Amino acid sequence: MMRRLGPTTLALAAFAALVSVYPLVMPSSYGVGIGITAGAMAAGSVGFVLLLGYAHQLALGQAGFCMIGGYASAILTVRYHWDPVPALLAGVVVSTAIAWIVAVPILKLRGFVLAMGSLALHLMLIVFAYEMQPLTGGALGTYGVPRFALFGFVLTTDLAYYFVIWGIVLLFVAIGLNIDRSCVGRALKAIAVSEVAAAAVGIDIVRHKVQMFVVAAAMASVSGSLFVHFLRAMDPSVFGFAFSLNLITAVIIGGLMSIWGAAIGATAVTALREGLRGLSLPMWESVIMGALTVIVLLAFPRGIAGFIGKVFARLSGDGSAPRPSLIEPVASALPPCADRGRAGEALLEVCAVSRAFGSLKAVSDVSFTAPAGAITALIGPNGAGKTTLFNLICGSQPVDSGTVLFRGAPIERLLPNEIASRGIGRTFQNLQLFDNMSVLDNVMSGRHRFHTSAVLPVSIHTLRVRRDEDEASRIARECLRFVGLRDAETLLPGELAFGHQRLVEVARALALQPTLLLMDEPASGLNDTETERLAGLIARIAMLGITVLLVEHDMRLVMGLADTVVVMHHGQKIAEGLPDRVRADSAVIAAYLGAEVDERVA
Amino acid sequence: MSALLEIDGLVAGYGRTQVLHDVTLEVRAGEIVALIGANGAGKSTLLNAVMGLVSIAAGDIRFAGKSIRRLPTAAIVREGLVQVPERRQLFGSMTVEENLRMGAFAFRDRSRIATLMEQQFEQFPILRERRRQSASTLSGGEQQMLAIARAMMSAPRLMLLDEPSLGLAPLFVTRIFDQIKALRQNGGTILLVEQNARVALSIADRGYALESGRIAVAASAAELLYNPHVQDAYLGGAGSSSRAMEERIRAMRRAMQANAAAPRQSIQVT
Repeated sequence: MMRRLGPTTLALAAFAALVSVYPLVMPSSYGVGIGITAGAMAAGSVGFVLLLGYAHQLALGQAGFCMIGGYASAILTVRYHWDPVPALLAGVVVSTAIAWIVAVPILKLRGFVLAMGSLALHLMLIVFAYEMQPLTGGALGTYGVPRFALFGFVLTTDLAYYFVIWGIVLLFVAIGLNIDRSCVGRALKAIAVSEVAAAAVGIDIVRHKVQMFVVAAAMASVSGSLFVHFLRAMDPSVFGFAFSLNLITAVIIGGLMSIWGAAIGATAVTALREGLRGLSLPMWESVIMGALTVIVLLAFPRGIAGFIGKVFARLSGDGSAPRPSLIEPVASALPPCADRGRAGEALLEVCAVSRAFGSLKAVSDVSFTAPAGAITALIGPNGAGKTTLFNLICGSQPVDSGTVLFRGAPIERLLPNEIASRGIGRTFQNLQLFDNMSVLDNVMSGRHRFHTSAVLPVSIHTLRVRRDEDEASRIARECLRFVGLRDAETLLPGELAFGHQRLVEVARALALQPTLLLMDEPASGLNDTETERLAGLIARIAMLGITVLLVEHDMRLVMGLADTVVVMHHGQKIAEGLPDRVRADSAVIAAYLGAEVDERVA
Repeated sequence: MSALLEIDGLVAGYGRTQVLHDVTLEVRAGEIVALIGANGAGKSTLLNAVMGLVSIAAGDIRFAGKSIRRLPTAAIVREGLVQVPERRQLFGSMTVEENLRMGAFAFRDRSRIATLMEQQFEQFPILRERRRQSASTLSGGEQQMLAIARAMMSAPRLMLLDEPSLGLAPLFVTRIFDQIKALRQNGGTILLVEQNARVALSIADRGYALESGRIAVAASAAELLYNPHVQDAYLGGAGSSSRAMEERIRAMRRAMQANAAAPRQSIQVT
């Protein structure tokens, strides 16, 4: 925590210093005007970087919310003589309300729906602005917007307004940074990489997308209001599609994964546009803008902020050699188990579950029970339906019929994140780690279900949020120690060897404090020595009271560890029982274990 | 027999991290050479370095006597090297046949492509049955066969095979390794990276154990199987069999349970 606080404070100070020095360098009213324009745009970019850069949600019509803010300020101050601040806040209220109404249905769908939906909304607002002449002034717009005022004091100079705007930018950046370092920031990054894995640690995907869409809309609305008080007028052309594109350009040039990048990018785009205007080549303006954007991206793939970060990392000499990760076979610290379930309780009951894909019956009429505290193994040939059954239990696929009971309550209609939040953790056959965050953050994301992820407390980084973070980081470290991974916290998962990444996934699942842990082929890709170590880890997990359901091909692991073995073939359960009984079962030998008797491909 | 692939004093890594330190190995024509080692030892990095996917700091890689160190990956494939990547990396939405065609991307000659495809269907009859199915609908074992067949479509002189047994049921592991043996009998040369050291060494001619980016042991496959160090590090201990490992795991679990029955040690955090 301390480590992260230092540079951030430094950066905020440097930022404030730059903002104060600029008017001394460019004291002309033209210069200050550019500063105001850049600041107003930066305010809108900060929310947008969280939506586009962090959560990878492409909203093409972001300027629509600037428009709502702009009109709210213009109409309320000119026609109804409101003060600028309440008018601005009214714009925020309208923007967030519209954003929420639009986002809830749109963000349930994936792909380009949001891009098209937000574009359509923007288009509707433009038409509305032209047509509702009595309210908006139509194409002529609304004139005579007063100067901005704070607490009744009118800001009579542009310079004063310049400082107010950049103060707001600073506030937004601080909010953005707080979101970035909270569980919400991790959730957004997780959603960007793998929605399946995000849901598996209990992250409510739709909720977080909607939340960020609304935050971005609110900030865009403020940006629109601020613009209007500088322009002193509002008409439908101010926030056209070009403005949406400028916002996107600003966020990309600045650096998609950086809150600072948004402010830097907005400034760069404004400066570029003004510089080009000085050349008076209106035809070429957008061509040159486009070309420069491409050049910046080629030179700095992670944007200007990414480049600055790299330079600083090099200067501080921190980046010379990342410490290699080590394994210590047996660790002492145990991660706590939230809720063990009573011994002997039928923790998970799969009852007559079926699932078909077209004519293929992937799982048909399968029933079994995983008793609390035991290790249950699920085996069968490739294509037997194990993974499908696994997905049915996790909620990532719906059942056609049958029911899945967890602690006596049906869970087959719940969403994956709801199932995870009830205490069912999982690991993936093909690793699903979040490659855009450190190993420690990956494991901390497993704590999501215990944390408040409401915007307000997260934005101001309340004491509760701070406690949550400290606890998450402590438990995450404990989990990493428990799986036997050392000195890996600051590395990216991609920098670790495959087997170590697998341990990170186990640690992430343990951070959920699961009652039930589902492991999908944890030994695949491990050699014998590592497999034996994994067996030790799974046994220790079971000793914590965590119930384990294991899908695995390594028979030494399955037969050595499992209390009960369930065998599937062609979507059906063909055997169930103690390891030794299953091993001797002739149907199991023929279908799976292999013997001289039967060599035909199923 | 002369060496087809010679790796000489190779130093390589990703960005700031150096993974391989002074690795020297060779693969002769007609051999299966197994490369075994723990996770993170640098096995996949070595294959990636050969294919020109990793920056090389020092050393040389020669293929059929010619240095390929500075060649781009596409040119290396044209020289006759091909990699079957870890986790298969198939084109999931394409059919089996389309995947095979992608493997022959460098060839224009249609009759040659047809001949190569026929060869693959002979070697892997199940793929002929599934030729119109999309690759993602195949089972794990079939996908691995398709990955190998796709690589064979470039008519390689040397195949780099990365973890073919990954995620496969015991029955399919045996089957895949039988296929790999058959490839060699048809004149193929294979550098095989495998976690399942016992199976890999059982079909290989020679082997290398890679540890922390260095070659720790190099010998014939038979010698490696009985090398005490190799047994300890990769085969689960001396004289170990699958059954013995299973018994050890079972004993360990029993011991833990017995311990727990005694005074319980637990940490509860709210």
